[in-house]
Amino acid sequence: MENEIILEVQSLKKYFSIKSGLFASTVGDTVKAVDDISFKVKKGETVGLVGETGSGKTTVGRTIIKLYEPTAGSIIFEGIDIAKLNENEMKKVRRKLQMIFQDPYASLDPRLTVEDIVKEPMEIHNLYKPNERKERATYILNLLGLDPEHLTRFPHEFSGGQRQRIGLARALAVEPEFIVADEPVSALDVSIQAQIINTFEDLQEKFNLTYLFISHDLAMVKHISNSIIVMYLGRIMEIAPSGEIYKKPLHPYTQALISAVPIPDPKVEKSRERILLEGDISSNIKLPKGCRFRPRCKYAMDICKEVEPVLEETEAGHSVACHLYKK
Amino acid sequence: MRGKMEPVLRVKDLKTEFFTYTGVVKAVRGIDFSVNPGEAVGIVGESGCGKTVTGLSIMRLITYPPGKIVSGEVSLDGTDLLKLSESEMRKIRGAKISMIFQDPMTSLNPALTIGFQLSEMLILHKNITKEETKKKIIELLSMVRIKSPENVFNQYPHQLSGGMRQRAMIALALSCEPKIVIADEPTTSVDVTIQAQILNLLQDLKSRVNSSIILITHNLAVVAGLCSRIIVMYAGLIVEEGNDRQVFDNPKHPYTWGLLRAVPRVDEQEKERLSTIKGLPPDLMSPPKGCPFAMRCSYAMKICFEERPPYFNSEEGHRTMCWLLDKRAQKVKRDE
Repeated sequence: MENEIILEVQSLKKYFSIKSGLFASTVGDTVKAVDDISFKVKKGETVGLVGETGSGKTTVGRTIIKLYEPTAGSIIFEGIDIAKLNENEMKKVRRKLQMIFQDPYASLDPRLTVEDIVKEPMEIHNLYKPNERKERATYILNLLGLDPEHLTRFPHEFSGGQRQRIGLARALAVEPEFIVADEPVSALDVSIQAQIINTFEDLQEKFNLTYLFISHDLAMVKHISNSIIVMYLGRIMEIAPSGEIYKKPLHPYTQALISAVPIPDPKVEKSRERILLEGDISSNIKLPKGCRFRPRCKYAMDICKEVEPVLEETEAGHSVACHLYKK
Repeated sequence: MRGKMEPVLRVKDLKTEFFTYTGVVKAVRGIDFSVNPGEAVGIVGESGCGKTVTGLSIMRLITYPPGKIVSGEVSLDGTDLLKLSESEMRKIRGAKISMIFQDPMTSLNPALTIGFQLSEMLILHKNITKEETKKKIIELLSMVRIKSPENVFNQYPHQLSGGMRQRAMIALALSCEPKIVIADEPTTSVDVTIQAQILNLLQDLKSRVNSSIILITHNLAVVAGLCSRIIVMYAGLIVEEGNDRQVFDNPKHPYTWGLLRAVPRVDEQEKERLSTIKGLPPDLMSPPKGCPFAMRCSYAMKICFEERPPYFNSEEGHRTMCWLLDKRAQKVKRDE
């Protein structure tokens, strides 16, 4: 069954200019956090976004729900280009586009009770009658495996995993279609991570939700996603179905990234040939000419110094931006 | 070879507690283990299981109040570190036993150059001249694969990337060629690609310097490559210990089963639902009297709630704190 496309990002750019000094004038340099990326997300699916620190994955997530104003490009959500909407018009769309943040300790207001936290978005969006909101909050809490008794408690009384569930409850309160989850389990212990990931999967099935799942944990992204986008310094290096990313990674960066993920099996781990990347991710203020991965790439050719490769499809659903795969 | 070797480090019945206003937190509740020369031992467990406190207790870095090592013995080459005075301990810390901390940004002094911080250690423990010190530091920095060590010598921590800082920390920890290096989550705050570099470096250094390593981490996959022996901790106790094959291929404790199945593998073929460990770890202010894992364990029997299980040895060097291994217990199979 071919699903309809719920979100399409076209040539999205987000630059941050570096301001300094008393009068905060732009000093000339810009950080190209997201530099011309395009991708599509189908309804009911999960797209994983992976990359190292500084690859721009969080900026993509935040720009899509317009926590950041995009510098250029369009974000077409359910047929409407939300990049062009003003704050007022955006409010209507934002009900359908919710976000889960990485740090469950910082993303909940410590002075509000769980009831207030979950009811607040319903109030903002004027959903449900005021006297029905508590009932709705109770229903969602139940759904997430939290006790309705917890409604009167404050965030500090909960563990990290429970807080992340409260964050999810807040997002679900307004019946969203699309959830951007930015490293939702990174701050949690492994046994709790599994609980939250399973909850994500159950909710997706129940409400036909679409997720953009941002994480640096490739094994987790591969587990939860239908397709995976690999980012490096603000650009997409590869898009592949998650089944293929391990079996057939094309981009040298994807290959290195996968080879760096440790496998909990000493037999495999101690005999594995590992591709070690030299050095660190470069700065995205002074980008190298040509391919941005070139300084760390062992296959770099002459053309890589001159021409930046574009993302091209090699087979259905699998695209790569690398000169090695040019015919 | 095994068994004949005299361990460099032997920990006996170590108990560390924290005396807080609300009560006494029993963070480490009596653990025994030893580390052989040149061996890499992994200590695995979730937040609050006592793995970091174990490391800090061995280093004698528990500050009182609120923390206190209430009993036990930590012998390094036959000397009980817990009986030493602070000034005697200072001669050993850094020289014979050193530690790599999780966050290199907060464990390096931001106001001093890398060169200065490394030379402090050498000047304190080794009787060498200033020129020799500098030469030795440059050597150390290139050993941990820092490019242009001469420049890094004069740089401050903020001028280095996360991976570089962690490497400088490793250089610092190795500067006096200690018998044991305790690495507490050395790769948790860095990217996977940098993690691979650091693990590779530790592997390489282990064979070169012949130091023993205690690698403390929550990530089972990280110990799989480096360590030959694995200790699984839960609620302040060692619940399972064995060599890498025993713990990964034939684990005996239901908690280890849970841990292994809770993490997705990047090489998994079919997508399977992750198995979860229900509930939360116990409150260490009033730990349960039976098995600490009983209330989360789907195989728990009556006795598990009443009496803490002893260690059962299933093979040479493989011990498990679980009643399921008692002869009278029903045989259960680990579901794969």
